[in-house]
Amino acid sequence: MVGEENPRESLQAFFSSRGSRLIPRESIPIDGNKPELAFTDGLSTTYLRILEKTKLQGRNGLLEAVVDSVSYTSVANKVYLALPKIYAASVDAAILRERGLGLIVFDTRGVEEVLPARLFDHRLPETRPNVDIEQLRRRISDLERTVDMLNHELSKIKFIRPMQLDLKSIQPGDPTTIEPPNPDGLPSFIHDNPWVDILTKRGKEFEQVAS
Amino acid sequence: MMSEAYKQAHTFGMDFGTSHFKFGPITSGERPDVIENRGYFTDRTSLIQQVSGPVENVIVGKDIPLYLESREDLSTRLVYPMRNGVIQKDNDRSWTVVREIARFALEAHRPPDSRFLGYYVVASLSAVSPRYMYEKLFDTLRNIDSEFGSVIAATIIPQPFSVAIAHKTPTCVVIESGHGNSQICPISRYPVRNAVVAINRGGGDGSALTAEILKDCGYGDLIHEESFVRNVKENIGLIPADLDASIQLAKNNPEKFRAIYRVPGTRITIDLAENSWMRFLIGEYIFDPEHELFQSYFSRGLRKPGDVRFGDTLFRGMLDFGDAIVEAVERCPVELQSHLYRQILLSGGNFAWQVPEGMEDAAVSAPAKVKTLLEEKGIVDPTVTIAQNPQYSVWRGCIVYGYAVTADFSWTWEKFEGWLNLR
Repeated sequence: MVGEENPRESLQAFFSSRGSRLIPRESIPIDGNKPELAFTDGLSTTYLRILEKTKLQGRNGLLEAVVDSVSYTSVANKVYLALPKIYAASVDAAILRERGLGLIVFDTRGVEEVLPARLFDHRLPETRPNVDIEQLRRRISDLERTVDMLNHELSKIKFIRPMQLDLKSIQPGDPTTIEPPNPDGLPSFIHDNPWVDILTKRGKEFEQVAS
Repeated sequence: MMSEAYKQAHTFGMDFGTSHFKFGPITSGERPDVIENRGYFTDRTSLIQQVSGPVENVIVGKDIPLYLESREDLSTRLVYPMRNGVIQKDNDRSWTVVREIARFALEAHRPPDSRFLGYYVVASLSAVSPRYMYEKLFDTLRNIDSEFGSVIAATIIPQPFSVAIAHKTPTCVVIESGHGNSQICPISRYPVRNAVVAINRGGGDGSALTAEILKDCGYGDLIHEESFVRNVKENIGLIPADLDASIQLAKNNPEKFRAIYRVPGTRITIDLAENSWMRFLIGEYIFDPEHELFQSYFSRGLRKPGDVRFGDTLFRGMLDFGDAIVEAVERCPVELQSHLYRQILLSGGNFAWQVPEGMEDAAVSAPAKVKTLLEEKGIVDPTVTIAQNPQYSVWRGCIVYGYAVTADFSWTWEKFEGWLNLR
């Protein structure tokens, strides 16, 4: 088999051996970047995004392929990324798995499925009442707003909490007018520390106990 | 120049420890943030890095484990810049990590207040850091400020000096012992720089001996993981009151002194059985490696701590802690010496040793061991204490220093003190 030299033929043969047939390109219901190959076994559809060496030269080649593949999951039941085996060693399968994408590698010796794709059941949304989804969307956006607000409050608290240096007394305007910190709010290791007195005089004393 | 109040409210401490980096502004309260003092150089050719989008060349902080790739890569990509306390001047990778760690710390604490004009940064380095390290660190902070506007002025103080400040002790001897080395620094309102004694021995050497003991006891297959060996050392190692006497006691009462360590979450149990007397070797080696028993380990391949020179400082390998303290104190004025012996402060993770219940006749704490070593040299009734919260002492000293030293005290290379304005 000549998988790396002619990957489309090898991949077509691979899926044919599993009982799938090729979907004509014009029948793929996607506008814009269509997958290189699409198959159906009568019950489900599988889309394949093929990355050949030439497309991997640019930094964004792989990134674009992954983004396209993720978008296919809204139409196809399974989506695979196919790339030359020598490049696959560097790909972290965890990210593809998280997105439900499968990974197929090919080289001169053949084609191999190294990560099975997740099955996306597109019939499910149709059976659910739309009102539930709308409700869920509203609740999610409420939650997002609440989390944003809490994060904002937390960042303010983090700055103010241990400070207790009475930053409220700072007058707006010139930062050189900032009031001295409230001594009662200082950390314990500053309280009653003889070094504070010693160090405050640094630069103003000429005598030095030790060299 | 900012007002004193602005400087006090915006003092920022940075402790560059050998293993961990402690950082935070005065507003952090009693404890700083802590991350490992290390950086991971990413593989920019990796496809996964391209899929994940643009990433920094160097990763620091708690995210490092998310980027680690193969184990083989770790030794070259994972850089601990301060492992030996000193960075070579031309070690660009280590200085890059220092820059990223400092930038990370400052950005993590950038106040939302629009009137924020930058921090007064107090950084702390090893007492034996050469002048070029000060210059490089100042340059690094200036570079960060020019890009992020986060540092108005900076100063750098030695770690033992910070410890003395945090413990409210103006006259003392601080012994700071970390992973790779130990520093003995007399303090008398100033660090007495020409009296600093450096020892090329630290917690890492105790771990190396522990590995040899584990090999002798049949656990040689487990010694390749540094953190595992360190855990064994911390759990079974003991400091002997007197090595020969403690070993004899342990050999006469093998069950009482039996060293057993069950590794949490695993099926592994370390049992030194009839060799449990060896647990005393671990503690003794840290404080005094001259005993003849250690010769057999050296002859079988244990790295003997040698004398090495970093910058202008000679790190002595085999000097015991008692001799080292005496040598440091005797470089100070005679009138001061008795005061220094009355306040010896041990700091750093290498002094946290347990004395198990029922073993008080043979095992002692680190302060008790140092006191014994000094008394053997003829020092009468020295006072040795161990620093409370040693992990945070240096950072706390930085905060006190930044809070107290006035903003108009400019940096002086004669005294290595004061603020260096970076703008």
